[in-house]
Amino acid sequence: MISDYEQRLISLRPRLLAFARLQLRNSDEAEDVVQEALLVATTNQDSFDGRSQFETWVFGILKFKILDVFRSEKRRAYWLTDSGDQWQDELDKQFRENERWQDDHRPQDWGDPEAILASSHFWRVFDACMIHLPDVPARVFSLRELMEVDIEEICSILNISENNCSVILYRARMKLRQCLEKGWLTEEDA
Amino acid sequence: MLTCQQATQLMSSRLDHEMPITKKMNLKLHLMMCKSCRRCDDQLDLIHQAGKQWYQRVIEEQATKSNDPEK
Ligand SMILES: [Zn+2]
Repeated sequence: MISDYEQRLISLRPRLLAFARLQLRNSDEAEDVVQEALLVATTNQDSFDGRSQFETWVFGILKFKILDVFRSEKRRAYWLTDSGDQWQDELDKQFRENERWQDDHRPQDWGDPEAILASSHFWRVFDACMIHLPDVPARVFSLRELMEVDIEEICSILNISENNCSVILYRARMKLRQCLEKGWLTEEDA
Repeated sequence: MLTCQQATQLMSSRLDHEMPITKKMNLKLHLMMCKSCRRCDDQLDLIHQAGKQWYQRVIEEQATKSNDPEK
């Protein structure tokens, strides 16, 4: 017999999984971590005090579990193996020899920020651009910007220097900016 | 005077921690004179805001399908 409580958890599972997949970029690990989070939520039902939103509470547990995965020594080496320098070259091409913008790479006007954030087209582009980021910058970016972990903590979790971390974040943001601009300024197919 | 590439690096690091005053001034000066970098700065800031909202959207399942004023 399944309780209401368990039913709520079950219905939350697909969203938890989508979230974990985007963070970890590995389906098996995402399954595992969601399983663990659900287990914690089931066995610690009493610690949910009803003051926070139920979803927020469960996602909080998942977030904690994901950070644990990132922390694990075994994971780290694999974590920081980058897919190559090609995407970095692409970024450098935005600038001329004298480090000023290339004419055809100058940032364009995106319009009113509030309208952008209210647009479902923008969010579709955002998700697509996230998926297209290479793994390493995507993970650091999602730790920093999506999970709002501060940079000192990211450095200590991943055991990398703050400088290294800043460079990865810089490149992730610039790459995302480039991708968003392309997608956002392109009319959506009806 | 900062180059555009240096300016973009400062824009990014400004989102992660407080910046020394001289760097802040240098960036401000560059932004006053460079429209492309001003746009880039606004856009990186928007991405920063979007990141925060993104997590909340996932939790609330404001999925594109269910809450779409365009459809
Ligand atoms: Zn500039």
